[in-house]
Amino acid sequence: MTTEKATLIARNSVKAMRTIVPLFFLANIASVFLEHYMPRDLVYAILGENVWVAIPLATILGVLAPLPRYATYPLASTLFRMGASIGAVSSLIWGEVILGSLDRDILEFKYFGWRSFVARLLLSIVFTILGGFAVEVLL
Amino acid sequence: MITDLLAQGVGAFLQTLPILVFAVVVGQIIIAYLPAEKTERVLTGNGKNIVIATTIGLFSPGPNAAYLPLLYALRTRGASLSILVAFITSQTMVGPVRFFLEAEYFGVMFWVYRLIIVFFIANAMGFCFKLLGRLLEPPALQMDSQVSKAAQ
Repeated sequence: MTTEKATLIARNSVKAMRTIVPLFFLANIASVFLEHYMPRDLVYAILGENVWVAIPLATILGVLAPLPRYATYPLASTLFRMGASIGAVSSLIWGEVILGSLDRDILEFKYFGWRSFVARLLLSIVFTILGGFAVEVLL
Repeated sequence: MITDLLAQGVGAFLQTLPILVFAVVVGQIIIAYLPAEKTERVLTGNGKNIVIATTIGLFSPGPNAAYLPLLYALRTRGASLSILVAFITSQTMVGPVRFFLEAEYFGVMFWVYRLIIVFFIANAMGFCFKLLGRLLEPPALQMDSQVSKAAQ
């Protein structure tokens, strides 16, 4: 590895971490509060008891929740510990990336057109739900 | 009480911080060494390249927004929308950085199964786009391709 490449990697890593680390920190704090104040029975009833409801619901929750990249993991892990099914947790994590940040969505909309954007959104939701069921069966 | 919860949150953050830092650095190393020309060549290829585009997406780190200008440039040069969608889907849903976090929070097998499932999902998305074909083309690109066909 050349010095130039190493410098580039270090610089880009610091740049990426400047946005990721603070949000990851907040997600960790939020997940501790969630675990403390959210009743376990409620989490189990919504995201664990009935996977036929839990997985589609977790997918929609993931799509709609304005969670930043990687910040879903501490929250998803907490929900899993509190009784959410593994399929629902998996769908929540996938759902979060279907609609990404606003800048990405605007770019995609602009570059590939609204029909492509809407089709990708709808197909992603359907396949994420199916993927959640697959995870539930496999794990 | 709140101080205790905050301390707990900071503790959990500090416990996973080294993994997050390591994952981000690994992602940047892959970006630095990923041959852009090869990615470009595969993404402008024919229909069978949906599978290859999916595979490249699975191992491409970083935010998807960084790839969109390149994908748009490839699109205007004739890359199929189905191939680009397969790449976008697999790149956003997995990516190497997520491996470290998923392994830490849910175990290695969680990531392995999800990787396999995303491979099928991204391919299915690509083939769905291939079936839907011209219905999904932006009007500007449809006109461009009609003009280039007429010119031929």
